[in-house]
Amino acid sequence: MLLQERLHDIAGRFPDKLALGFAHESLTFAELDQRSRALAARWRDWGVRPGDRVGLLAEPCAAVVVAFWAALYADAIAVHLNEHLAPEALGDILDDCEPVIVVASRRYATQKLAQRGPGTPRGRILVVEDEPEMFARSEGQASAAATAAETDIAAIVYTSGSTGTPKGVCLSHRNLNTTVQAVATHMPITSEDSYLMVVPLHYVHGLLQLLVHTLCGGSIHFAPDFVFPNVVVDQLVRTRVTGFSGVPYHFVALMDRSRFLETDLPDLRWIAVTGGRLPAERIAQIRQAKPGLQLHVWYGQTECAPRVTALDPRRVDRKPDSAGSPVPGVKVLIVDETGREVPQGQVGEVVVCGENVMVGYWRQPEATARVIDSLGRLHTGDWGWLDEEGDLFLTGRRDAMIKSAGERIFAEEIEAVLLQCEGVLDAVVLGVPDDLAGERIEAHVRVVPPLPHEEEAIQHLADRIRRHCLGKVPFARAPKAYHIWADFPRKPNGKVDRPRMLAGR
Amino acid sequence: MTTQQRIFEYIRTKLNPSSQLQFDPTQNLMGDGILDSLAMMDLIVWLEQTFSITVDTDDLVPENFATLDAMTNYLAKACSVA
Repeated sequence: MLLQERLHDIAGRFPDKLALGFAHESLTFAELDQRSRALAARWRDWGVRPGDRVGLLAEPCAAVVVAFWAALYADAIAVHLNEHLAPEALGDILDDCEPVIVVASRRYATQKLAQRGPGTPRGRILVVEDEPEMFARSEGQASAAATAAETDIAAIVYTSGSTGTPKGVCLSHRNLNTTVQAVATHMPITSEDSYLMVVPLHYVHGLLQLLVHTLCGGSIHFAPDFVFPNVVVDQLVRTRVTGFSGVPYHFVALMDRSRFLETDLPDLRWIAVTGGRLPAERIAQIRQAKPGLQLHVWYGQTECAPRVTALDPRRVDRKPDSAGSPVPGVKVLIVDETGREVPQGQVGEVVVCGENVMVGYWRQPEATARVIDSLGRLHTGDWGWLDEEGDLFLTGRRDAMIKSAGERIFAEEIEAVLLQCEGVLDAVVLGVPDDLAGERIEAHVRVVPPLPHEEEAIQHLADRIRRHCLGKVPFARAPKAYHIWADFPRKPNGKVDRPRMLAGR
Repeated sequence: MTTQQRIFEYIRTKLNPSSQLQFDPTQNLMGDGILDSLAMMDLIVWLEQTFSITVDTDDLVPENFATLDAMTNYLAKACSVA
C-alpha cells in the first residue's frame, strides 16, 4: 500500500480527530487528507509528473505538511530541505534533486533562495504566506489511488557525506512502510497516542515520526525551537502527549536546563533516545525520576529508513549501553572485512538486511554500490557486536564521524571546507567530549607561514577562518574552536599525531 | 564597550559572522534568523561564563533572551542577585 493510500484510509476512519497541532493552527485528519489531495490535483494540472521532486523549505506549519502529502498524492517525491544550510550548500542540493516546485516560507525564500543565480532553482517557488488559499482549499481533490508502485521513491532525505557533497538517500514507500510498521508494532503506537515533535522534518527521524503517528491515527503536536527546554516541558504538560523522542542533546538539555525531571507528566507513556548514545548515568537519572516511563533506545541510519534496532525498555536498566535488537522485518549481521559473518560476541561491521534498506543514493550509483553489496545488504560503517540475547552494542565507526547535538559530521567534510579558506595549508577536525552536545567540533589548521606571534593577530586569523566556515556550513556543523599551528605534531611515520594535538590545544 | 556591544560583538564574530548584522537592541535574534537554536544555546553558555552567573531554569525563557535589550535587562537583574 502506498503511504498516501494509508493516509486516505486513516482519514476515513478518524475524520474529525486532530492530526496536526501547531502554535496557531491545527488540522483534522479529514482536512489534512482533503487539502493534500486538492493541492496534488492542482500540481498535476500544472504538469507535475510522477517522480518529479517537490522541495519543502519552511518552519513546521500546516502548509508544509500538506505539501508533503500533496507531493505523494501527485506521485512525486518529497524532499524536506534543511533551512539552516547556507544558500550555497542549499543550492548544491537543489541542483542535485532539481525540484519542479519548492514550497518555502517567506523568510527562507528571501534568505536562502533569492541569492541564487538566474534560472535556479529550476522549479517554481511557492511562498507559503503568499498563497494561503492554495494550501487550505479542499475542492477538486486528486484520487487516492495512484499510479506509483510501492518500490517507487516517496522521499529523498539529504545527508552529508565524507566528501562534503550532498547525498540524497532515496526511500521508497515500501522502505518507509516497513519502519512505520516496525515502530508502530514495537512501541506500540495506536490512534490513542499523541506525540510531541521536537526534531525537524528534514531529519529522517522527524519524517518517520510524522508517518508513524499519522498513519496510526495518532495526533502530532509541533514544538518550537528547543533552545528553551522549559517551553518544551510546558508543552508536554499542555498537550498531554503520550510520546516524545529526541537525540541525546535534547534529553541532556531537558535534564540540566528545565523542570522535566520534577514535573508530573501522567499522560507521557514513553520517551525514546536516538541519534547517539545517552550516557548510562543519564539513563539512570531519568529512570530514577520517572520509574513508570518507558525509556526506549533506538539505533538507525537514514539509509535504513532509519530504524534498525530498538532496546526493550525492560532491558534498559540492565543494558543501558546497548542499542537493542533488530526491529520487526529487519535483520542485523556482524561481518568481517571480507563480508563473512563473524561468531557471536565478536566485533565487526554492522550490516543490515530488510525491506527498509534504501533504494540508493540519488543519481550516485557508485556511492550506492559502496554501501549496498550484491546481496542487497547495507554496510553501515558502524562497528559493533551482538550479545547472546541478540542485542547490539556499538563500538565505533569505520570513518572519522563526529556526533554533535544530534548531527552526524564527517571530519573530512569540514576539513574540505577549511582547506577552501585562503591561507589554510592543512586542516584536522576533531570531536572532543562535551557535556551538552556529546561531542564538540574543533578545527586545527596549519597556515601559510610565517605564523604571527601576536595573540591578537592569531585571533584575527582564527576569526577569518571561522567566518569562512560559517559562510559554508550551518552553526551546528561548524567548528566551535579554532587552533592555529605552525606545524602539526607528528608521529615518527609523518602522520598527524591527533592525541598530542588534542593534549596541546 | 557597553554590555550590549560586548554581546553583539560575540554574536558578530563568533556566532554569525557571515551576515550583514546591524546593531539593533530590539531585533528578535532567533525570530529574524540571526541565531539558530544551537547558536542561542552557545550564547547563553557564554553569558554565564562571561558574567559569572547561572541562568536558573525558570529564567531560561524567550522573554529573557529574545533581543539584546532583553538580555541586558536580564543580566542586570541576575548580576545584582549573584
